[in-house]
Amino acid sequence: MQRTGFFVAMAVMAVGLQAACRPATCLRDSDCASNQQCSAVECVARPVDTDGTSGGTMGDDTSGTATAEPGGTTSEFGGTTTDGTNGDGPGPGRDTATASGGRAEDETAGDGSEVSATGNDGSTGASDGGDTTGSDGGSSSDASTDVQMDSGIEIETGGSGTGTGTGTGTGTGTGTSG
Amino acid sequence: MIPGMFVATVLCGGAIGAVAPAEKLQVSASVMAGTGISLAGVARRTYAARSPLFLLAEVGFVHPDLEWLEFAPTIALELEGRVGVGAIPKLRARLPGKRVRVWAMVALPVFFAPYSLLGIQGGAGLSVTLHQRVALVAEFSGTGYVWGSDLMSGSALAKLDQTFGVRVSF
Repeated sequence: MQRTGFFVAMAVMAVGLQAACRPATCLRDSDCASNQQCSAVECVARPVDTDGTSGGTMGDDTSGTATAEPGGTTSEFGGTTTDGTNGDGPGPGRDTATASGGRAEDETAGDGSEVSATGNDGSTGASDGGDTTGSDGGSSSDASTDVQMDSGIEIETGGSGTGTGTGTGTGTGTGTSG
Repeated sequence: MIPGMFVATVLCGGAIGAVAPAEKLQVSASVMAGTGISLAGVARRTYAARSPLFLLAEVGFVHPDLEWLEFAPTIALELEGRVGVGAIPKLRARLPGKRVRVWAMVALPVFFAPYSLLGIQGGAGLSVTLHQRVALVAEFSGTGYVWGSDLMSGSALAKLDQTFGVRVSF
């Protein structure tokens, strides 16, 4: 009889507690959608990573392409980058424009080192990636090589990995043609 | 590792001098399902919500010389909008009984995927034997989660759950 009373008391207590307490939309992060978190018993959107310093390993390398347009003076970053590389440079020569999600500053896809390519015509150029904002995520491994052809097309091969990110920004580039 | 060491050193003999090495452990397997209410305090107010449904699968070990004590490593799955996986090593102190057995229980629930939760659990339960090898099981537990990525920032989580299931003895 005492045992029965104990379990009845437990059940009554459980029901009573639920009635006495305020209802909550969520009590844990897992009560919310994957893109939300529980804050003060309400599901709210997770903070957006604006500086690209969090959200996984930076996808600063994968197999991808970077295009460099001869004579260009502006580097543009935009769209969805799966390789962290997307830039326009000043044509044959050095093109270091990279959008790796959060920030793009003279780093490029691959292992994070600069792409320093000299055109077959001896020309050199530099592209200032400027600042971009965005978010980035994913992981990757790198074994890429960067080839910039005289036509202004830069091709990376050998890289592998996955990553998603978005970035927007502006940059300027200068080049001299040899 | 800890459950394995426990089985190896206590139930199989060696850690407690008075306990002879087990010739044959009493082994049982249980499958249970449960839910309850979850409580969390925010800004000096207590909020409640129904706990997500969870499933438990456990294997119980009883040393023949320590019939009152049962060690039951348990795998836990939380459902309803998520699939959380955890492990719950349990210790049960059982009162003597034939058809109906009652016990007190302490456990250390640890969820590790896709989120983490760590807490401590205590409760009571009973089993009603239906057959020589089959019994119905009910357990009532209170759990406090104090650490984990699933908790709200700066908050702990308490749960009062009831669990029902079936136990098969081997």
